[in-house]
Amino acid sequence: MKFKDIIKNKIVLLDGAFGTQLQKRGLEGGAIPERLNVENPELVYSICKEYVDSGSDIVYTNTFGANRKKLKDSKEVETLIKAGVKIARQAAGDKLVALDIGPSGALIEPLGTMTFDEAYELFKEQVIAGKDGADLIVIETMSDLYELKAALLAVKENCDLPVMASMTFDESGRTFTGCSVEAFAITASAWADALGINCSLGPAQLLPIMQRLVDNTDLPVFIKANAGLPDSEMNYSVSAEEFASIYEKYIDLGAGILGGCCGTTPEYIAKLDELRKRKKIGKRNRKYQTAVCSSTKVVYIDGVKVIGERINPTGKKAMKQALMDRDFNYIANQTIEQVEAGAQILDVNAGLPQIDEKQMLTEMVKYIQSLTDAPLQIDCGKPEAIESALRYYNGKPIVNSVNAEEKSLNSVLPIVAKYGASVVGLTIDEKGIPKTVEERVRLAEKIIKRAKSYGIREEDVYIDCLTLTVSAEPDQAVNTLKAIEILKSKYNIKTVLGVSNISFGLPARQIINTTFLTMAMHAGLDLPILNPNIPENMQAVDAFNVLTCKDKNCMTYTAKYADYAGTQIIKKDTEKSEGASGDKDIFYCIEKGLDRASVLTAELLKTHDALQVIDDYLIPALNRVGDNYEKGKIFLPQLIASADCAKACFDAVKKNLPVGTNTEKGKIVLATVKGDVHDIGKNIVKTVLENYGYKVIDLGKNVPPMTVVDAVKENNIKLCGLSALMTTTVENMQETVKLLKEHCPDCKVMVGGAVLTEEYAKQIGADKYCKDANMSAKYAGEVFKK
Amino acid sequence: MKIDKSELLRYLGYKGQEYGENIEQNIDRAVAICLDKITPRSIIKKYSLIKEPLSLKGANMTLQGKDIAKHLEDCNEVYILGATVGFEIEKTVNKLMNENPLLGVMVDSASICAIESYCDDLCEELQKQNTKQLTWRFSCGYGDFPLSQQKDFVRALELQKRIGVFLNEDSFMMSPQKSITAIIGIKENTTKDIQSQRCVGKCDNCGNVGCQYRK
Repeated sequence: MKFKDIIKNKIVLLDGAFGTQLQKRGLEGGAIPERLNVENPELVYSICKEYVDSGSDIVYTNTFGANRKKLKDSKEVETLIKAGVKIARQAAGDKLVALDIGPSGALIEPLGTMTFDEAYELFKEQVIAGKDGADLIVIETMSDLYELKAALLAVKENCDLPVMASMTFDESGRTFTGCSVEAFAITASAWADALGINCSLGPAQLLPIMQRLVDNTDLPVFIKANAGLPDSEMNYSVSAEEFASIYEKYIDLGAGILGGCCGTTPEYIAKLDELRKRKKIGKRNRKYQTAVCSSTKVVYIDGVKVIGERINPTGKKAMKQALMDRDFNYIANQTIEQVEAGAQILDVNAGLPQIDEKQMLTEMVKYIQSLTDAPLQIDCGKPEAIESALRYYNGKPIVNSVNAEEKSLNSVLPIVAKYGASVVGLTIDEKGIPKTVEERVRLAEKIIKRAKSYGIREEDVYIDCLTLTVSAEPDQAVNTLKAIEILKSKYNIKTVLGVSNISFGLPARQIINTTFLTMAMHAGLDLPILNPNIPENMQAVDAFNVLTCKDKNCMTYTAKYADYAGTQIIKKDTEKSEGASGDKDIFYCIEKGLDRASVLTAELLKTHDALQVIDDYLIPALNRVGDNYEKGKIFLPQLIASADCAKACFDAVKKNLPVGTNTEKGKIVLATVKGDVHDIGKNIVKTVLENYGYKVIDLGKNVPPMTVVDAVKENNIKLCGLSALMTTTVENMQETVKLLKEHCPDCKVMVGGAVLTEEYAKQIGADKYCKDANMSAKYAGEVFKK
Repeated sequence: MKIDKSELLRYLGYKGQEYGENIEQNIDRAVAICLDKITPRSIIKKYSLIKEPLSLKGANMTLQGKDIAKHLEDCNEVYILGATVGFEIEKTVNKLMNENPLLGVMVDSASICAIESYCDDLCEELQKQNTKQLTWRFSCGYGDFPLSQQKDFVRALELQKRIGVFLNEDSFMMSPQKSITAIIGIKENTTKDIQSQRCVGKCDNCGNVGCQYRK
């Protein structure tokens, strides 16, 4: 029998706990249980056999933790997995054997230090070692969606076996790393043959989570709950009888594949075997919902959702420059700003002829995902770059875009299908942009049909009927809208449209933009791509949601516009006046970190030239703050508040400078060394240095030594700061310093972090030990003075 | 669990400086954000102690160093504990360090208070349940109790599966960062005194005399 056949219309039983059975047989905790496959195969056999005898249709192999991270080496992985499969095979008889793969035990970036590729390689080894002899593969107890993705791809790309995947959730329906059950369902449905929930809690607590799972997938679902929660002597609270009686409700929900996790025994499986004889699997009638997600946030496309357009160099000078300089700070600001302004999805585009788009796009996707929960739209037409970005994306994204040209359809759609993404289809082909409504509809239909042939659902195709400039082609705006209307009435697709091109060449563009946006939403536009920082754009969307009953009781609208006055939402003045403010000079305001400092700066600029303001006011004020900090007159939060406030002043000054004037005091590379993921200290230093007017190239955390060297070389850096928190990672700091001194002898190196001392810093060859952010700023002052 | 403002400030290097309302307001915000974003989870297991070599029975775990031996001098049994306040708070701090570093460092500091206070609560609860006196909690990295033993705690308590704590096997750093493992001895011959479960004497036992956080 095959897995796909036995799950058809029949309740199928998995096995129960393995570890619990080992403990019962007196095995000492803390040993590696997979080694028993070689050391005591009879014992392992007897456990498998007991489950088969009590009714299991599928038994898992004793290979949960058999990966290279937990074992000695690849050889041992292979040996233990092959032995485990063999034993299960013998015990299973005509029942099925599932090769069991658990989490690697290490954490993938950005939370941990393992790369996605390393995780993939670990799982690949397991799959290759165990695929012969197994009937299917099960990936279980996952808490990181990204790791699950690596494992699922390792299965799909290295064997033809069906695969079940389950994650572990708490009562709130999230895993330890924050992945929601909905995000799991929406993402993993692309690769798995069945989805499930296992471990963590008893069956009663997991039932509502199973409901959420079946609401978000059409795949068969399975459950392996714990026998309740253990006490400090590891006794479990739910009996076999009670366990089976709660499982009835799972069957009613449509879960037809049942088993047990920690604390369950063959007795529990036997009870489930009794249960299944008198139960029929409940009908599942779910309506497919179009959605995209990150691992922590799902956006259902069930009304107008806004895609932020700002992370795109096309026509945006500052973003172009940021990409060329690899200035990720700028990208971070654009990310945060757009999400705060109300964008639910962010478009990411790295299309510049001067840069390697594949590499940059992938890097940006990873980086932006570390900053925000918002799902992303991968904006690129090059299949190779799209594939790379899709592979490293965590969740279900949108690909923007495919068009109706044969070349595009044939190269982009297979990738979209493989990675389970949604796709934007542009109504354009070899002949260019069509002029008629009918032709647009025809091209859309071609895309929809072709997408379906690759297994991409209609609901996951988002058609872009294309905005043309109305001043150049006055009759086309109406055609675009009409096409949207027709397509929405005929198909279950979604529609997407970039809005702002409409007004090109006209005065007061925003008036046209807002009106066109409103008309398009009325015609059936689901996903406008726009600049969410322009209030009129978001206002139109917010109003539309009220008028179409999407904003229930006008809650969102009321909350957002309660303080609305005129064209600007008035920012409440948070600054408290401290006595008479007239005599408070700029020095005082910077020292106290008061927002008024930037107002005073503007005043000063009326009577002083810009560089004078910097040299005579801002820098001396900051120096005074630094002195106070050094003397212990102020403490860290005050230093940061002052530095923050000085930055606002610098920004005010920069606005007054002629374009091209260089106020940058110097470029500094900062990094938290390889192996270290604690980067709050480095981030404090970064804040302070930036606010002193330095340009900081922040390489982030867990940075390999050579990456630091490359950045220093490439940017001709005079000062590099390294941070390490643990005694165990100071070695990597030493290595980095050594390489820097070899390759870039002109670059000064300052180091800091909890475990470092003056003496230690000297020992590892650093030029300077900086005990805090203030000291770093001071040292930077010395270095750049020379 | 409570987040003590004076502790929060102490972790930020506060030594009695005067500060204005902007700092004061941010402290309150930081505490509120912290309480909203933490998901405290813990697991505790009880073991018999074997004296030669000092180890936990049935856990495959030998305890290294003189300091832990001294700490458990009068004990035949111990609890081992793993606790965390979760990833969400860590992600929140990372985000804030980009958006609003002043608030970021404060929330980070608040989350240190949260995990410490949470462990104190757990220990106090254990003490209440016991008729015998418990030692205060002792963690890897205290005195000469090696950081590398973190491995044994993570394995014995199945921390990854039970409470979502991961260990980097090269640096012995735990993720989420605000996580604690500790060992608590059950004393045989000492009169019970609940008060001693709070963090007293921890600093006295530490060799790092110049530490800025020393109480």
